[in-house]
Amino acid sequence: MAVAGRLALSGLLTVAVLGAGGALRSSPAASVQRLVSVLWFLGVAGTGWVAWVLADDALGLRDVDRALLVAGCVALAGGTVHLLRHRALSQVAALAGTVGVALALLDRPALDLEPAWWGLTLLAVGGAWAVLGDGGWLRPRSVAETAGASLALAGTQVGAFGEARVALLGLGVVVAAALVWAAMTRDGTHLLAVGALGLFVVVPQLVFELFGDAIGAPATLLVVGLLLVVLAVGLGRVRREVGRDD
Amino acid sequence: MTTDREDGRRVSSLVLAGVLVVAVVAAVLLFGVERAPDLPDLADVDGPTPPARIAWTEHDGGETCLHLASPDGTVTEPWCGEPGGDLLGWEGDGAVLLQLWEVEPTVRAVDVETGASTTRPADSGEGTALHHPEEPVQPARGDGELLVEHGGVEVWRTDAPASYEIVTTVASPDGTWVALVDNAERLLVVEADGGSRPRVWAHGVPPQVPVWEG
Repeated sequence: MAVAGRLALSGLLTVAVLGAGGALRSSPAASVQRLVSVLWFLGVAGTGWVAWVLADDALGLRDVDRALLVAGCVALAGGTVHLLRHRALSQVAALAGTVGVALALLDRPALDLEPAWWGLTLLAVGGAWAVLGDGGWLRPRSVAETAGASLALAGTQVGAFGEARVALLGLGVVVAAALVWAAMTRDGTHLLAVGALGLFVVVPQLVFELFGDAIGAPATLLVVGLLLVVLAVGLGRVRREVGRDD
Repeated sequence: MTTDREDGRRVSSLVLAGVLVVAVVAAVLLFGVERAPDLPDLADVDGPTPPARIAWTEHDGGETCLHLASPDGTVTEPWCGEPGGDLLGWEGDGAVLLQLWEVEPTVRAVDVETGASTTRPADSGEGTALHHPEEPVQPARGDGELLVEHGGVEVWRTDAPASYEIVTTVASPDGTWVALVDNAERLLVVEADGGSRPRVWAHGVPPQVPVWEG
């Protein structure tokens, strides 16, 4: 299919989906509102598709430029949709676009960055997103906090693939523990869930990294098992505290 | 209507988010981004020039583009098209041969002066690369320095970050020059006796083995 044809097809489909969402937007039915969210989410994805066709086929941009253009368009479209209606899907789309822009910018330097810098960038974007959600800038607040916290923890995992593995894993433990603490001090069951998952994922890795060679695999497994039991008991108590506050 | 406490929380969250982002951006720019050694372009600096042209290919999907760098520093793109293929070498009449990605062994000969190309079944001898094999041009690292040697002679020594690498090397047919492709996508060229500093012959060169004419 010629470039013009691909551009027209992707553009028409995107406009159709966005238009359908716009036409249904004023309906009072909750199910229709959910449909509008899905349609506009697809519309944001379609914007990325149009940008891809434009960047790749029409303009012939290099990989790094193409990625930045597509991510930027998705971020812009997602942000616009989220400004019009503060729903979970539109927020997720805006976050995806923002992460895409950040990663595309990190990919621009000629020499590859260490994984730690990729991880710290994801941590910063996720952390900022969660904080903005807590401050009421992004709604629904629980979606912003959950998505942002999850992204921040994922960032520490990504960064842990490099030479600064122990430092990033330690940072992951700190972030997860902070989420658990935040869940205790305010009504944050969703924060507890993310923090608990983070602790269960990161702590065993850190223990293996610190003690694996010194005490051998079986002893390390024993330490990890005991720590997980302690974590489970502790988090269970925290859950009861949070449940009382809810 | 929001209360003062809620307004304060909104402002503080905005400030905190901004500080977090700015801090990481600054850290990445100051400590994370590393630069390849700064080298002049061949076309911009007077001095000895390579003895021959050099060709390389760039693939995007099924399409291949043939690139050519000349001793005067100019870079041209004589041919782009499908089906693509791998660079084999030069023919005596100034044509570049590509081994096409087809089921039947097929070769495309591209006239680099006109861009015209013809295809033909590959002879048995054309099934393997005709380009000059990578000769012992050996990059090595030590103490934060990059060292490139050719035949036991130091060709280039420079300070370079650990993430900087020489991806491929190839000496000219007469052995007097060495072409290097680094992971900053630059084609560098330097005299094999180490008599001069490397210069950038072309930018945006993928990690493909280039082929000298001759």
